[in-house]
Amino acid sequence: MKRKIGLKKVSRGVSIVLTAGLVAGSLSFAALAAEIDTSRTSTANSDERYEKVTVAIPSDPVDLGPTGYGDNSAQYTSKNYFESLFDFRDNDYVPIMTTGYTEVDELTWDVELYDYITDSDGNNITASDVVFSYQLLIDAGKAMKFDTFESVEAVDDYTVRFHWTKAIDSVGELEWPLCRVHIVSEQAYNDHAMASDPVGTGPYVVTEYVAGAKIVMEANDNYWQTDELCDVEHLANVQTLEYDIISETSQHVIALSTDQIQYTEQVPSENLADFEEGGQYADGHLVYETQGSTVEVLFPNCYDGKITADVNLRMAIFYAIDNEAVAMVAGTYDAAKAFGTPFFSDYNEEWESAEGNYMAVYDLDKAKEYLDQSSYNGEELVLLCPTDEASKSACTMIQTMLLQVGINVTINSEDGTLLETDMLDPANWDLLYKDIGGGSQVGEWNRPMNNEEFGDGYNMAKISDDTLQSYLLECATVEGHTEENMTMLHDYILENAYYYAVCTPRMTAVYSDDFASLVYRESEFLRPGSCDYYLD
Amino acid sequence: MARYIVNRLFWMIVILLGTAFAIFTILYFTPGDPAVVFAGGSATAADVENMRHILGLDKSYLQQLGEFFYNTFIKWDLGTSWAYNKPVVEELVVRLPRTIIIGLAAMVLNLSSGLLMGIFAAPHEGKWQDSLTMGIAMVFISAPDFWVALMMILLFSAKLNILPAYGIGGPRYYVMPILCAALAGIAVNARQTRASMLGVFREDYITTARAKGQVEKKVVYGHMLPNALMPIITSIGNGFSKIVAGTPVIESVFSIPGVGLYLLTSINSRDYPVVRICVLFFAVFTAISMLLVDLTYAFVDPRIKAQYSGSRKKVGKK
Amino acid sequence: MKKEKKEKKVSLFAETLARIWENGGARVGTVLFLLIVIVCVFAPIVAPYGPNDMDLTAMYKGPSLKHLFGTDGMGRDQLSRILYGGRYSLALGLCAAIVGSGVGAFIGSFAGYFGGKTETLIMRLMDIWSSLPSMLLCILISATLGAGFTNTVIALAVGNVPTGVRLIRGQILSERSKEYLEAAESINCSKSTIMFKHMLPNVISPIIVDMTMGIGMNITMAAALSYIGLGVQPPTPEWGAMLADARTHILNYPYLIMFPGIIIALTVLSINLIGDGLRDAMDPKLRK
Repeated sequence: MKRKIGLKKVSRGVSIVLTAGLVAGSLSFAALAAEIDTSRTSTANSDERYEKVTVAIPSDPVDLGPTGYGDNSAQYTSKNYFESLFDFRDNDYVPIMTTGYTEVDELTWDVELYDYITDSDGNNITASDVVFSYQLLIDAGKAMKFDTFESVEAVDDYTVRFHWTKAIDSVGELEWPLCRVHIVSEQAYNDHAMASDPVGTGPYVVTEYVAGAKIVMEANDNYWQTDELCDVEHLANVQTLEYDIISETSQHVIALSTDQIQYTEQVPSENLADFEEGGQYADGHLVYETQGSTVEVLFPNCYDGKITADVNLRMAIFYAIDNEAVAMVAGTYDAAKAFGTPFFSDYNEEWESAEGNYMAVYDLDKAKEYLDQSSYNGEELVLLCPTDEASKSACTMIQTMLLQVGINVTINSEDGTLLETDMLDPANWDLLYKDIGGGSQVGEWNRPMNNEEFGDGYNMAKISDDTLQSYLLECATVEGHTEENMTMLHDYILENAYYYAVCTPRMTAVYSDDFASLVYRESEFLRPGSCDYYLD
Repeated sequence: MARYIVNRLFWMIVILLGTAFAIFTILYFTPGDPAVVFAGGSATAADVENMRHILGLDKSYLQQLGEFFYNTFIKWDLGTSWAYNKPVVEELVVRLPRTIIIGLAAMVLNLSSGLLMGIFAAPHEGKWQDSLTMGIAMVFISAPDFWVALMMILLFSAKLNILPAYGIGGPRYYVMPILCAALAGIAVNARQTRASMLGVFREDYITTARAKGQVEKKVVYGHMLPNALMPIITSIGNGFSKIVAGTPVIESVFSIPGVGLYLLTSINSRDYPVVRICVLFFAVFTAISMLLVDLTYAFVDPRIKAQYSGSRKKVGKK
Repeated sequence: MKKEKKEKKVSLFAETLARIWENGGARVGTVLFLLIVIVCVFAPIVAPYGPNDMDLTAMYKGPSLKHLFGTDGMGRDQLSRILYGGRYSLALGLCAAIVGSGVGAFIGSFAGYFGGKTETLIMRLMDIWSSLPSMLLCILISATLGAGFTNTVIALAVGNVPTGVRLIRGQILSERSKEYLEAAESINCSKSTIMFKHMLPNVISPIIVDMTMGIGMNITMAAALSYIGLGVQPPTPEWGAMLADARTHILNYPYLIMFPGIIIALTVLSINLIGDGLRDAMDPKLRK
C-alpha cells in the first residue's frame, strides 16, 4: 500500500519540481576515477554491504545535533544521519522527505511529507516535527540566508505550508531554507542529547562519538524509504562508517599507507605521487583529482582614503602577480584565469580571454606603467591572510612579486576568528587574501560583492558601488541569470580592478581501490554510503 | 595545623574568584568576535547581531561578569560550550582520563629516570660521568616536543609501522605521546636531584657518616637521598598540578582528544564558556595540589609544623 | 672604598667566569653558543643566499653542495634561512627572558622588601597568574594579541614572570634578616636605595640563571607557538616557524624539518649547559 502511494506521488512530484534558469543538465552524480570493473561483484549488483569504511577528516564536526554549526566537517558527516526536506543538486531542489511542492500562490508553498518517515528511534515524522525543526534552527540563531523565509506551519498531519516574504526568483534562493534544515522528531529531541547522540531519519545511525577523535555510524536497518524510491545519494552500501578526525596532514598519509583509513582529501600535493602508479604506496590505492569548489581571492581595500582605493595602484598590483607561480608554491592549486571557479556550471570560460583581464596576464611593464600613474609612494601595504601553510606560501610569493615592481607589503596572517573580525574594519588591511565559495558562480559572487551582507553598505572589499550591486542582483534572479549579464558583471569588475582571483584548489582524494565509484553530494562532499564497493 | 588549613582554604577561594575575574576580563577584551565565528561564514550582519544576542554578548561588561559569577558560583551552572552545545563539565569528564593517563605516566617516567640520573651524576661531580649524564638529560629538554613527536612518528609509524600514529585506543596508542610528554621533565628532575644531592653532600652528617667508615653506597642511599628528596616533593607537586591541563601541542600532533586540545580549540574558536571553566578548573586543581605539597612539607619537616602548631607569638619572636 | 668594592666585584665576576670555564659542559656550551651567535650575527656575510630569495626552478632540492641544507617549497636556501632565522629566534628568546625575568624580579623585590600586606597580595596574585600552565597562558596571550615579533615576546615573557617573582622573593626573604641591611637602615638610607643598591645585587644570581635557562625554553616555546599557528609572521625565517611550516613535508622532505630542529636543539642545549654551569658557579653552597 505504502509503496503505491509513494510511486504515485513521485510522478506528480517530478512534474512540479522547479528547474532553475541556467543549469547544465548533467545528471552524473558519480565521479569515476577508474573504470568500474563490472565482472567483479560490487555492492551495486549484490544485496550485501561492504563491511567498513574509515574516512579521515581534518577537524571535529563539534556539534552533531540538528543545529550544529555549519563547519565544513559537519557538512561531511551530518547528512549521513540527518535529512532535509529537499537536497540541493545541480542548482535544483531534489525532493527527499516529500515528493515535491505545490505552489498555492507566489508567496505560499505546500509540501506534503511521506507519511511513513521514521527516525532511527522509530518516531513517525509529522508536519509538526518539521515546524519544530525549523523553530529549533531559528532559535539557535543558525537560520542563515533565511531572508525569503517568513514562516512555516502544519496544515494537516503530513503537510507543511511555507510562507515566503517575496516571490521566489533567485537561483538557489531556497537552498538554505529547504535543503539545510535537518528534520528531527520532537520526541527524539527531548529523549536524546542531540549534540553528541543525534537521532535523525538518515540511512545511518551514529553509534559512537568521541569528540575530537572519531564518529562511528552503522547502517540504519530500519531506514524508512523503500528501496525503489530511495534517492541515489541516500543509500547505505557500507555497514560501518567511521570518520577519524586527524589534524596533521602527514598523519593522513601514514594512516592511508598503514590501511587505518580508506579515504582522505588531506594528502599533501607532494605525497600524491606516492599513491599513484609506481609510487611506494600505490598498491591498493587510487587518486582522484578534480576542480575544487572555492577560489582564493586577493581583495584590495576600496574604502575611501585607503591607498588601494586608487584604481591605478590596484591595476599595478594585479598585473604584477603571476598566478602560475603562486599556485605552484601553494601546493594543490591551479592558477585562476578569471574571477570565478570553473567548478560551477555557470562559470564561463570566455571570461578568461576577455580584454583587460589582468588575471590571465602577468605583465611587469604594464604594472609599472600603472604604478607610475598611481599616487603610491612606497607605503607599506598590509596583506591580511589566514594562517594555513598554503595561504602563507601564496602570500609570501605575492609579497615578493609586488616588491619586484616596488610595492612594499607586510604580511599579517591571523587565525580564523581574528581574521573574520578584523576584515570587517577597513582600517586593518589594504589587501586581503581569502577564499570564497558558494553553490553556484552567482552564489559565490554574492558574498564578496553584495553590499547588504555586512550591514554597513559596503561589501567585503569595502566597495560601495550601486552599479556593481545592481548588476549582481540582476544576475542572481532566475531570469537575469544569463551569460550576457554575468559577462557584463565580470567586465565591469575588470574595468574597475575590483577583484583578483589568484588560484583555485584542486580537490584531491586518495582512497582504497575497494571503491568502485565515488559519490559526492553537491559535487563536493563524499557520501560513503552511496559509493559502490567491490566485495570480492 | 587546623588554622593553617583554614587560612589556606580561605586564600584558595580568593584565588579562585580572582582567577574567574581575570579570565573573564581577558576574554572579554580579546579581539575576535565569537558571534562572527558561531554565526558561520555565510552570516550577514543581521545574523551576527542575532547570534550576539543569543550568546548574551550584547550585554554590558558588568552585566555579563555578574551573570558569569552568579551562574558559576551561586547556581553552580558551569556553562555549556557554544561550539559543542554540550555542558563543559560533561566533556571535561570524558577527556580528563586521557590527559591524566599521559600526564601521570609521563611524570612517573621522568621522575624515575630523572632521579636515577641525578643520583648517578651527583657522586661523580665534575667527572665525565656527571657531564655525560647531565648532558643526556639536557638533550631531552632542548628539542621542541612537537619536533620530537614528528620524528618519532616518522620512525615508529611511517618507517617501522610498529606504533599507531594517531588517535586513541589501546595502550599502544599512548606510548609515543607519553614519551614525548616525559622528555622535558627528565632534565628538570635530574638537575633538581643532582643539585639537592650536592647540597646535602657538604652537610656535616655526611662527613660524619663517611668518617665513621660507612660504605659509600650506604652514605648515598641511606643518608643523602632521604634528605635530598625534599625539593623533589615540590617538583612532584608542581608537575602534578600541570597534569590536568595536558599538553595541547602533543595532543594535537597525535590527535588525542584530551583537555589540552579541548582548551586549545576553544581558545581558537572563542568558545568562552569552555575556556573559562577549564581555566577555573586548573586553578582549583593547582591550588589543591599546592596545598597538599605544603601539608606534606609540614608533615615531613618538623620545623614548619612547629610554626603552626604553636601560638602566634612564638612565630613572631622567631 | 669605592674602588675596592669595584675590584671585589670584578674579581667575583672573573671568579665566576673561571669556574664556568672549569665546568666541561659549560665550556662546550659556551663555545657552541658563541659559534652559533657569531654565524647568525654575520649571516649577511656567511649565508650563501638571501633568506627570502626564491628560485622556483629549485624547489625541494635535497642537501647538495649548492644548497648544503637543501631548499624549501619556494626554492629558498635552507641554510641561509637558518642563519638569518637565528637572529630572530635568539632575539626572541633573549628578549622574552629579559622581559619576563626582569618584570618578575621587579615585582618580586617589591614584594620581598615591603613584606606584610603588599607581599601577601602580590604573592596571591602570582598564584592566580601561575595557576595556568605557562604554555596555555602563552597560547592565550598570543591568540589575544595576534602573531608578530613583539606580541610573541610578550606572550612568552608573561609565563616567566611568576617564577622570577618567587625566586627573588625567596632570596630577599633570606637576605632581609642580614646585618648589612640593618646597617644601611641605621645610616638612613631610603628604602629604594636599600632595595636596589644593596639587596638586588646580592640576590641577582638566581635570576641570571633563571634568565639563561629561560632563553632556551623560550626558543622551544616559540616553536610550539608557531606549530599552533601563532608566532612570527611570514616570511620571517624564525626557526620555530620554519619547523612548523616544514611539518607537512616530513615524509618526503624530512631534511626540511630535521635541520631547523637540530639547530634549535643544539642552541638550546648550549644555552642550558651554560645555565647549568652558571648555576653551579654561582651557588655558594656548591663552592669548594
